[in-house]
Amino acid sequence: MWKKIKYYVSVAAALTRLAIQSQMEYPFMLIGHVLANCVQWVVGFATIKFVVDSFGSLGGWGYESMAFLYGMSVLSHGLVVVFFIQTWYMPYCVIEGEYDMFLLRPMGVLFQFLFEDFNLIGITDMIPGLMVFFYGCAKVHLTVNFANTAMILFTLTGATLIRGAVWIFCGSLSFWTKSTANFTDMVGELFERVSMYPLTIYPKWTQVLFTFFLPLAWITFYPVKDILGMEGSVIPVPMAVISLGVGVVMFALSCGLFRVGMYRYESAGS
Amino acid sequence: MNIIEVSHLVKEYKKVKKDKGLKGAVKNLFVQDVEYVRAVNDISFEIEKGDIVAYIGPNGAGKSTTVKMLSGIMQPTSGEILINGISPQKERKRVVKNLGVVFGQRSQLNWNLRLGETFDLLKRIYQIDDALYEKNIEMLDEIFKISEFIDTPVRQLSLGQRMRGDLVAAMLHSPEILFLDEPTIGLDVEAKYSVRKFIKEINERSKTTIILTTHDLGDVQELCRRLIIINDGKIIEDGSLDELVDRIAPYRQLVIDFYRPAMIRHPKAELVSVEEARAVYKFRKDEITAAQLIEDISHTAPIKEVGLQEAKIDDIIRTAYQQGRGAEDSTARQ
Ligand SMILES: Nc1ncnc2c1ncn2[C@@H]1O[C@H](COP(=O)(O)OP(=O)(O)OP(=O)(O)O)[C@@H](O)[C@H]1O
Ligand SMILES: [Mg+2]
Repeated sequence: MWKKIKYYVSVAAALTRLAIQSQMEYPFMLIGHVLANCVQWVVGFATIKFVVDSFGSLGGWGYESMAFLYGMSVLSHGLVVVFFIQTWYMPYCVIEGEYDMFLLRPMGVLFQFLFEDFNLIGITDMIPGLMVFFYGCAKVHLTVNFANTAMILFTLTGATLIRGAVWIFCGSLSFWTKSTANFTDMVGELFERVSMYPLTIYPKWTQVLFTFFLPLAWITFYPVKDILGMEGSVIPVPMAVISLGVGVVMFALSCGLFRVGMYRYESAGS
Repeated sequence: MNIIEVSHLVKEYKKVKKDKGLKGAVKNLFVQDVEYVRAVNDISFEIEKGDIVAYIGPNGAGKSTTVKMLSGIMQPTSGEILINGISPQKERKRVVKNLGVVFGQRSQLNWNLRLGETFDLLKRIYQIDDALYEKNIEMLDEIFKISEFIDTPVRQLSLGQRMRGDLVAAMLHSPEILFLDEPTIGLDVEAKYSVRKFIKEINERSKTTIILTTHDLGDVQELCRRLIIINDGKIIEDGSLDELVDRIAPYRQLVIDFYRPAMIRHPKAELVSVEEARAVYKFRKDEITAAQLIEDISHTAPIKEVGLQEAKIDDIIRTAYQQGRGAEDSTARQ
């Protein structure tokens, strides 16, 4: 078991290194992305500030806590873009038979696929993410201690897994639909709507939906509420831990769907 | 035990018929005409360890489909495959450890990386130890001269270089079995020669079992002891090339130049044409040898020169393909 983990880690490291190396061949693209992303997030942030300034608060959330929520959302967005952006190409890979190469090697297909295209450019999403995040931290006067740091790390890991799982889930549907239609765009929009603004601004039924059925509220909303100590929760377990749990379960489920879908894979007649 | 066992293999592709135009597109949203194409239709064969088998057939016969199922890329619709006694569908990872697969049409190399980097990655993935890796690289370099371009990004390689790279990549972990799907496609004479030489050597040295798909009958003639011909997803021939030639084209032609025009008949050969001093005879290999025929004729008239013509392999294979189609038609009519 230990040997197997070591083996997978060593291959993952090698794949990541090679992916970074091949992306370094296009340095200008990297710089272009940094600029574009910064502009995008700053504009988004300015919009929130404008809204909160006009209305005082949103769903009971003041400007400071909104800034922190927004920061967490952008940061987890950056992480998912780094680790999972290639899932956007899953329909293409299914139609074009791109998984042949991975199937011929004695390793998991999804594992190879995820690490082979480790997305360095996604790091450009992390830069504005970090800026907004630290700004948010400062605004809510977050105390830097072990508990808070751990909660934030748990939340971010959970958030990345939840988002990644949904992408893998959507991508895996193409094993059945056999079309290049991709839902990830739509889902991406949904992610941002649900994770950047407090869930309380939405109607009750939407809140239930995003808590239990399509658990996107766990990406940021519940754990952030907990970290900021807004209203005592009924459950004794920290929300961040639940977020992580939700992330792990969803990720496992989506990997399962991918595996089942793989049985339907038909390569491509070239 | 046979290293590869295939029994009653079937693969059906689902094809959705798309109607044309806007009306069709709207209609397709609600109803889909689904059609099943049987690319592989009840194929069974066995291959012994150390054999080189040509798996040939016309375009669309189902060759690549078979290879993809053998190598665990696709699930068959029905039927069973055993490689070394293991099913590639049930235990893909275990099976592919022992396989080398090359699709000539499609590279397995990473486009953006240098060739050597892909090799390093494969070394890690297959957990090849240093000594074996060095040994294999050295041996493969001897045959393919890859060191000339090992530091070039794959996207900058020529087709022939890329193909050599693919072959080396498939051989790094010293697999017992090689599936080569059109490995000589688009290669020049020299490159083709080196691929053939490689196949021969690797088979002799390591007793590697090889299934070769190709449209180049020169490959078949030079390399393969056994030939499996498929057409429309069914096996129509399975045997050695010699057997096939004997059955499809048992006739050979003997061209004789006499010193002066002569018209000499022989009971065991047919005189096909006479033109000035040149006569052409057609005879069956199993009825008379060429030497006997020449001797008999030379008793009657002095011979200046002789030439022996075998049936061309292209013609033989073409006839075989047509036969298959004929058989298909006749079964359809019954
Ligand atoms: N992924 C696929 N989806 C649907 N149909 C396919 C697919 N791959 C192959 N086919 C169909 O199956 C049949 C057999 O194809 P296959 O690629 O196995 O032929 P082949 O013998 O390799 O031909 P070629 O010599 O042209 O490479 C063809 O009719 C082809 O159109
Ligand atoms: Mg083919």
